[in-house]
Amino acid sequence: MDVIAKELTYHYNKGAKFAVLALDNVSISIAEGEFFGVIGHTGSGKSTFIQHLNALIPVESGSLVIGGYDLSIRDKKTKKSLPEVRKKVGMVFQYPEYQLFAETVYDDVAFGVKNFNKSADKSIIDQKVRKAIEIVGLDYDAVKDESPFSLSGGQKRRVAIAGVIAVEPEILVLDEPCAGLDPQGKTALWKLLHEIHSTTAKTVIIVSHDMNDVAEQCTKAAMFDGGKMVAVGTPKELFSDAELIERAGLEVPVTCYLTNKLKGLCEIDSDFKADDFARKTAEKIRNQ
Amino acid sequence: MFAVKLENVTFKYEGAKRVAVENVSLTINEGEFVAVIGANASGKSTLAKLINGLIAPLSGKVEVFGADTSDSSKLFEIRKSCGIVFQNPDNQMVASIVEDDVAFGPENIGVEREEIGRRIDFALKASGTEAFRSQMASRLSGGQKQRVAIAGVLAIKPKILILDESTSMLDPRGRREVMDVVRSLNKEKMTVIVITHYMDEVVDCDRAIVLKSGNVLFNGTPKQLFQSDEVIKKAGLELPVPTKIALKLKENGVDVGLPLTKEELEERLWTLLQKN
Amino acid sequence: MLKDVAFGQYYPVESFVHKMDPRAKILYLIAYIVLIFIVKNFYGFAVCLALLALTVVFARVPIVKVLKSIRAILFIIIVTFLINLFLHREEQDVVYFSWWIFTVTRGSVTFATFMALRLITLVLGSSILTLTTTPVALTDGLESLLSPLKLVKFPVHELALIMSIALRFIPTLMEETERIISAQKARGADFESGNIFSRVKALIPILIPLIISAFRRADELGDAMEARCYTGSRVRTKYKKLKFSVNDVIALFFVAAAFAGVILLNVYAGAVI
Repeated sequence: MDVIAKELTYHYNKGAKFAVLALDNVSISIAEGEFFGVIGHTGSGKSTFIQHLNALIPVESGSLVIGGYDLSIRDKKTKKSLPEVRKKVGMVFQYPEYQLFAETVYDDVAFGVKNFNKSADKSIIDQKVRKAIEIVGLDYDAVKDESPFSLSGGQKRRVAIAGVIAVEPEILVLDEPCAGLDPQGKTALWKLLHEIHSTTAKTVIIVSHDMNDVAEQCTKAAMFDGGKMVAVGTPKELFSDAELIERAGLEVPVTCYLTNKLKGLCEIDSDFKADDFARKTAEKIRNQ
Repeated sequence: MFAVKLENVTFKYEGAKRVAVENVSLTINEGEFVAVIGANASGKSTLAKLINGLIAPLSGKVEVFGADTSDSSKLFEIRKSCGIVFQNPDNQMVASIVEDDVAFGPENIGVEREEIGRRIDFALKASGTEAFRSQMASRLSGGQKQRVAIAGVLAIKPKILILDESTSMLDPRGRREVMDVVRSLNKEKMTVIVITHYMDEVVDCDRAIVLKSGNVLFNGTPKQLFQSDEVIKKAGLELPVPTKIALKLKENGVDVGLPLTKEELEERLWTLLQKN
Repeated sequence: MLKDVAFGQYYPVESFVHKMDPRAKILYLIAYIVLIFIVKNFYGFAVCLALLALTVVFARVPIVKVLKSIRAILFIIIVTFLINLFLHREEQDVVYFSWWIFTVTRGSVTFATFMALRLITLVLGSSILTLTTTPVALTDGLESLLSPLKLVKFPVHELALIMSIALRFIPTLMEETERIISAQKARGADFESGNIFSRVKALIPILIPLIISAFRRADELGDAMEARCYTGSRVRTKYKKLKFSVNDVIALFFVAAAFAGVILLNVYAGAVI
């Protein structure tokens, strides 16, 4: 499933005095299989954009096509297909652990599965729940009957993510999944997301504030500023225009910073990943 | 006299299985900029609450400028001299309008009306939030809210400022805003204790204290900390990105030492490249 | 966004009404409410509406904002209107329409309209108060007006603080509710179909996280307040001192004029209810 948005525009409080232009003519396509980063500071429009992908925000003007579903057409058929869209596009909100509600971990993870598979057998649901809990790295038999509120912060987040991937979405969207985690938790979560990317979800779309992470982890990324999408491409393409990044209130990755500062002395043509950068820089130094 | 002194402090939350802080002894000097780091549940936030007297140690002693936090008659003075900014900007504001919120602290300690006005001026200025004085706090960004929260603490005129993961919910711009304010306060002799997960906030501190499962695992300069693989691994920390890159350069046969900031790394690469 | 449609939120502009003392505004609102309950004819209502219109003009609040407040209780207005319309009986009445237990008469039309007008003007008046007065000023005003109750050991200050914190957290909790609704919708929650029972059940995934989060917030706020030296028992000072101004006196003149007008009209223009 590809995501293709054309001239997507959206206002909050449309028509009111405090109307806010949240998305301004955004055209973007995200191909199946990407590990796609969405960057921009708070209020840049990135959250509004990703909520469109799940049909949580209706298309105001422009068009948005996800797989075979055209979300910009507003008729009964589209409305009927909304559950299908939401099933195929999983959405993990910021601090997802705050949306846990059920008495047991099992019930919470099964919530989405049951909603989207109304007539499914219990055995099938059991199987999906078990699989999701195991993917996020928890011991199914040990946690399934526990209250989700008795778990640690990092575990709660994993349970919340399990609740979304249990539905087996083709596209998984996550809004700052690493926020508030300690370094170890962060590293483990990135690893988990790549695992999900290679097993269950074909496309992963991720909102992140950390440009070093984006350079390191994403295949492609788009940058938002003031409701507009101002740049898109591989990390290498995206971060090559440092001025643009800084104008959007963000900091370029350290590798990119160094590349720019060392220009003139030596040209380092890396993909801004630390490994590649270190290898090429070392080569240059040795050769000079 | 130390600004903060902990002597064999142990604390356990009611109903908790294990102690949150165990036999911790440490001192913090006046005017120092100290980072407290460690994985989740390592006891960092408990430490902040112990220092401010929100909780009293089970055993051991916590002193703030010589006043014992277990002595309830001194608690008011201790809280006056030691302010905390918490993690969630939305959960520490009492009033809807910025200046009313900043006034809350001085009102609590019985400051005269005119003086409260002066303190609000001072606090808003020091945190760079004068422009929001009569605005609704709910309309501000995360970074702006946290700076207002700092103003709310500054209006009490504390000598110690504790940031308890105050930047963890902010975007890079908000983080930068808050840390800039904190650094400039430290230059004006404020003792600052930053509890954080971000290694780049540790880098330019005077001292780093690493906690693990309630124990002090390390107490020294950031430089010493990031040199110690063992501590980093044991405490579940990570190296700052420039340091990581430096190590990767070393793997590739180029030794640039152990820079902690990107500027440092840049400088070393410059010298290396120019030498050739 | 939900937080912006909340009932009667403060509208930040500078105006004659904004500058009035909250105590005066509260007292005048009470007077105004008394007024709309003693009105006996539509002429009197015209006077009330004129007072209301004048206030809106001097408050520099867009009329749409004020009218929006009706939306919150539109359902109640319609229901009471219909009940009154069909079920209100008067002696010697002209019957327009009658079916089973429902009758519409000249008297019931008048009565239903009158009652609906009363509700509408009541809500409009109150919304002007909340639109022109910050929650803090409002609670300060209430605290000051209720302060004589301190003599009988009534916790006036605590009550005012509770109110202002509640008001302060309305936008935060609204936003949070919106976020939780979105998150559960994304997990396939359906709040719109099914019978009453299943709809109520569908609210659980929203209510539980909301309640838990409210407790967490309360806990953290408690710590933050304590850390900022709040003890409750000490003698607190107050930064904002309430002072009556010339605006309050001018407004008093208009309120008094409206009162006189309504009373005169009640006496001389006859009563319709």
